Amino acid sequence: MPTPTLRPPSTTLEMVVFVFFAALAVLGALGTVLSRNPIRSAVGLFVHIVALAALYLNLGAHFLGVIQLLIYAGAVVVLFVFVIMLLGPAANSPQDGRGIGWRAVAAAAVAGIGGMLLFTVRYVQMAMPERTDSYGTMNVVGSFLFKQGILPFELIGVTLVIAVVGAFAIARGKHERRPLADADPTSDEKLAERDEASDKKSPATAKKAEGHS
Amino acid sequence: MTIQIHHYLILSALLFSIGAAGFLVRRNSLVALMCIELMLNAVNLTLIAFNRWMPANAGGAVPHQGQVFAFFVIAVAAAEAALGLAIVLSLYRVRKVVRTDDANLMKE
Repeated sequence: MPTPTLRPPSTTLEMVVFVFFAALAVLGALGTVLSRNPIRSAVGLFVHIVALAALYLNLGAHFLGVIQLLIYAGAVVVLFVFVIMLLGPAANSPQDGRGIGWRAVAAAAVAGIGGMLLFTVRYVQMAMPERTDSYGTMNVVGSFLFKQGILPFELIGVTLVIAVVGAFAIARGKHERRPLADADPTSDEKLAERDEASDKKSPATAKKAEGHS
Repeated sequence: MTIQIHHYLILSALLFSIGAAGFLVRRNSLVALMCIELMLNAVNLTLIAFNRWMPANAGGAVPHQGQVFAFFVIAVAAAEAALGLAIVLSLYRVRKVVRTDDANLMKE
């Protein structure tokens, strides 16, 4: 069976794809930064990430494009949306934007760093080498990862385990063990409490309601 | 018109600047975390673009250091998002808001 050879993409097509998805990435980033509502920011981040995955594919990094979609769009953005949903209205913090002084400082810092970056990279010229068929495939990247990069790979595994355990420890919080009746919303006591509309919090009224019935 | 590496580098600088500006201006800690993700993504784009323009070494094999580096950055970013959101949740539990200005428990 002959191995299929990839046709090199036409440079015009590559340019068109680049311009389209670059514009989409910038729009997504602006949406993330400018939206008042954090859920809209999350949608902006999603658009940004999908556009970047398309740019990775355009660069021939197929494996990284798939990883970007799986981990960023599939896990990180979903995690953000999950936390926003969990917080509910509290995710919209009042007085979100900063005052005019802070904005001026931010504008100066960003103009400085961004301008410096743009000025530096403007004239970078490199000859693009021919892309081999195996460039960026899972096979080649994986074998690099497991040969030369095996130590960082194992260390990143340890880092992720520590991060997961730490996230559990931080997010769990400290709360004392409550009796089971308090936790179960369908218990008799809870239902009696709900019927007694006058004072929802006090367990004494719930007891009283039970006594009446 | 052929595509050159500086197209990718200029786009990456622009995206990094947008992320940095958002991080400095917004006070919602959730949006601040998203802006960190924007900056990390901009760096990943630079790494992968440079990897594409990297010439084959003497043996004729194409090196993939840049892509593997970007892979590690993605893994660290995922860990960072998980930990950051856990901190946001515990901040909400104490203060009932997610504003970064209210995260001053160690100052009191």
